[in-house]
Amino acid sequence: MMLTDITIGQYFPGNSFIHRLDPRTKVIVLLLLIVAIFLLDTPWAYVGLCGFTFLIIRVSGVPLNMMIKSLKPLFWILLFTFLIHLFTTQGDIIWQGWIFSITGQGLKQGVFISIRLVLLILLSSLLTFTTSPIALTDALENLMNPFKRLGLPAHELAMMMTIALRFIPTLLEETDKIMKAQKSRGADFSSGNIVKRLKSLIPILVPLFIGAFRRADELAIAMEARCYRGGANRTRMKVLKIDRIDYVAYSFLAVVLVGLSVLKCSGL
Amino acid sequence: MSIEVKNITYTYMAKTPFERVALKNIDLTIEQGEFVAIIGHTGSGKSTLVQHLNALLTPTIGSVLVDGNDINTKNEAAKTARRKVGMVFQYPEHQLFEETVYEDIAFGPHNMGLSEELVENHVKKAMEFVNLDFAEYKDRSPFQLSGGQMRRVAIAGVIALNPQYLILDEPTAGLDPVGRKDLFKKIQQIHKKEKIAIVLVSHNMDDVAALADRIIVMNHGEITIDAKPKQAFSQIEKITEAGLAVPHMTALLEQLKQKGLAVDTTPLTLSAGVDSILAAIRRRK
Repeated sequence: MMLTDITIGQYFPGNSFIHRLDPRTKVIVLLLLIVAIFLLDTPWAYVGLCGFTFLIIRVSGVPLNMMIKSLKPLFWILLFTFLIHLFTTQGDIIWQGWIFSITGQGLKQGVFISIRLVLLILLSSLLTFTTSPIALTDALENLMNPFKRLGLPAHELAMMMTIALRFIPTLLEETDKIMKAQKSRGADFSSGNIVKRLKSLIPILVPLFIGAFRRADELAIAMEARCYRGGANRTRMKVLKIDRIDYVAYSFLAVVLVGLSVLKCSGL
Repeated sequence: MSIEVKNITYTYMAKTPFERVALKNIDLTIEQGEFVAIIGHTGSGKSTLVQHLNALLTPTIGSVLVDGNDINTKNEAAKTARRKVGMVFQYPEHQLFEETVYEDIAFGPHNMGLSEELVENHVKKAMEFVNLDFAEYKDRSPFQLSGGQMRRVAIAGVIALNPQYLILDEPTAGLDPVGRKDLFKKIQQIHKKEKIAIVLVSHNMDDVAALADRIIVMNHGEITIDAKPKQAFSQIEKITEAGLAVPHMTALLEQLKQKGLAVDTTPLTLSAGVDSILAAIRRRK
């Protein structure tokens, strides 16, 4: 796999219902869904939530294999969490071998926690897949605005996020280029023991850091040259606006959440 | 002995909305001892193409053979190919990492598994080639040198591999006119003296016009011209279509011809151009 093939945090252009929603709506919906994911603890409620997640993924038009790819980096964490819950939960033993024993409750816990994590990752990936980084930071800045009075530097935080997101692809590209250059000089990154492999990273990391500092310097100068000074009186080219489709989304979400609460309360 | 590129196609980020075909059905043979210039505007696929020549990229379709061995990113042949085919990237000074100039240039030879003595030999030769005094510079930190010197250290790092083919991707980008002239002279020298095949990637016709024996023009991932410089530059339409400008000398002579002076438009250097104009004027008298 090439480094430039990495899709985490990448925007997937499109014009679906989800893409067209106001980014603030998407952030709020995500927060509500995350709360829901952690409050729910009955099987049918999870089935409902999984169904809902699947539905919005379909609506967004983001290919399923890309969604699954976003799970890949967290596979080991998922497996590890599942096993811990499986083997360490107290309850009625359903299987025993050597020093391990599996309980019914453990199995249930393990499955639930795995589903929770998967849903969390899928929903947050869906947010970044369907929202351009600029729109996303605009939304966050806007949502953080009320906290400005408490001294929260909302604009600065958003700016930092924009810059960080903006430079992820650049740095990946740079890494790719440096790796190729060092490979051309006979560097080998994929063989030898762990010490040797870690050492082989030095020819990549040193130029990468130097490059990052150089870029940061240049960016700061470029921003200063254009008289940038924080959030004071800046206007926006694209003003965020809650539209009709956002109300549709909120209403739909309300129905889903009520449905899920009913499932939870009736213990299904 | 040659690098053979057999009908390759390369697609970036296949099966995503970012999918982009960078190379289409490229067929190309680079003989040992040749001086080839690959020209194209930004995004024409020239950098992608040269990265196939030392197995940094594996073609989506087709194959690349270096001295008869099929190479792809994973096989053993790729490692030997990378020794034979030296690659200088754009802004190569951005890849320096060692504490001393000597150590950085020695990185390649060390990776080849040479003895310390041989490594020093290679480094000395490479530094001599780029005009850096061995005794003066070997213990300096590469990061305290000037931009032009850093570029020379980086190029020396590739030359120290003793390649038979040397690929240079826009080697003079960001250098001042003196530095450019100097570097081109050095490249020409290594080509003539060591019989190393040179592949020079550029978007500037004037730079390569006088140097290369063969010009390859790329446009939208395809080779549109592959000919000797004089024939290549006579195809003005194709060159303009590729988003490039013909060399200044060719442009000037073409203009004179259109104005009615029966001038030979093939010369590429200043002195040959002057001769051609003088000859045409004499004929008119």
